[in-house]
Order: sequence, then structure tokens, then C-alpha cells
Amino acid sequence: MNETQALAPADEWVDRYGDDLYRFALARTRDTEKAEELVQETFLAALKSRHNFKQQSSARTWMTAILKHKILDHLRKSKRVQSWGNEEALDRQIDDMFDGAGHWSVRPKRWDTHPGEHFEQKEFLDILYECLAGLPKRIARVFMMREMDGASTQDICQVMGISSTNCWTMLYRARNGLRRCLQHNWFDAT
Amino acid sequence: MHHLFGLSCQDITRLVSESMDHTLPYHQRVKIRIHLIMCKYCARFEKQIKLMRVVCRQHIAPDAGATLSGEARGRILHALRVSATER
Repeated sequence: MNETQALAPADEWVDRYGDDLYRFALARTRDTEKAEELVQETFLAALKSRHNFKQQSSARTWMTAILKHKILDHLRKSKRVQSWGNEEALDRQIDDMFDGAGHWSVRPKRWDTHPGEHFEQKEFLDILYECLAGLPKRIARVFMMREMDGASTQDICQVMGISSTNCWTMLYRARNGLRRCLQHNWFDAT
Repeated sequence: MHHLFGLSCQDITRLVSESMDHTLPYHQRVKIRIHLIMCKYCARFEKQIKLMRVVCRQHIAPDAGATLSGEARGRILHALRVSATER
């Protein structure tokens, strides 16, 4: 996947990246029509922001990142996703997990995960995406850059125009928020 | 669990998360490790947020055989061309 390159002409995108993006979208939506629509939206967004494309990442990676945001937007519109409010709400959620002295008051429950056996990763990832869609957009974006794309905090700070400390705080809020959401919608539900 | 080295569980969860984004000073890493050995809830917290990272970073290759239909290809290409000339 190490294909540092200039962006191909838009006419070639469907042939070059269409199927990969489609598979990715289909995996998250399970809806062929929706997946096609998302691929088209991704290409159009890529066309609009092609000047943002940096050659150090591959075009496929860049487009997949755009697609992930489109998928989140799509999930946000669906009824299943519950919004969690703003960043302060996430912060309050953390405070509520501890008493005044910083001891656990809402203790993390055990997650029964047996990779390959009972632990259906694909379904888990579905719920994770839904949980992610419920996070404040900025927080979701930072989380995806860090945990999905593996971007360094430095790069994230630059893109988002935030300090490192700010970035770590956002990631902490995101991780804990997702953890609680997964607990509720996956582990408690199954 | 009582505050160990002056760090509460809330502090530890924050530091565990931070340690996934940059290298903490040695003395802090030691304090965290010891806390995690002694406190199963903080240890669970660590395990869970690290599991989320592993799952997120795994390359999912689902529906490997699925391809865009010819009709969809044509439609998308058309939309791209229209959008390109509008600019």
C-alpha cells in the first residue's frame, strides 16, 4: 500500500479506487445503494478538495479517510445513533465515573472477548462506528485520525490547530466515551 | 483503591490514555504499572481502550468480491465529470 504518487486524473478514479471504496462502504452500511451513493459523494468531495491532497499519503488512503467521514455523517442521520451532546458532556461523563477523591464510582465491567470465537469483530466494529457517530464531530475526527489512521499527535495538532495537551484530552474523552458506549450497546446488550 | 504515589484512579485513566499518544517520563510509567497491578478496574480500563485501538487498526477486508455495478460506475463517472466542468 506504499504508493506515494500524484493524484490521478478524476476520470480514472472510478476504475482505480471505486471498488475498494465501495467494499469499505458496503461493509459499514450493508446497503448497496447507500454504499454507491457514499462512493460518489466521496469522489465529489475529493474533487473539491483535491488541493488538500498531500503526496506523502496514498490517494487511496486519502479517499478512504474522506469516506469514513461520509459514513459517519450517514450514521448520524440514522435513528439508531444517539448523540452524546458536546465535549463538556463527555467530560462530565468522566467526572461521574469517579467520586470526589478520584476513586471509581462506576467501575469498568469485564469485557468477555475471545478473539476468533465469541468475539465477532465485524459486528463490534459496526457498533464502534455507531458510537463514534454519536461523538461530537471534532472529537470523532481526532479519534479516527489517531486510532484508525495511526496519525501522530503532532500531525493531528497541525491539522486541527490545537495544542498537544488539547489533543490528548480529546483522545481521552473519546476513548472513554466510546468505551462506555460499547459497554452499553455491545457487552450489556448481548 | 487508595491513592498510590498521590495518583487517583481518575489520574491513572488519564495517564494510561496519554501513554498511548506519547512516551511518558520513566518515573510516571513505573507508577502507572504498579497501580495497574494493584487495581483491577484501572487495569480493565487500560485493556478496553487498547482493545479499541487494535480493532480500529485492523484492516477490514469484507465482501472481498463486491464490485461497483457497471451502472453505478457510469453514474459516478458522469457525476464527477459534471462536477469537474462546473468548477
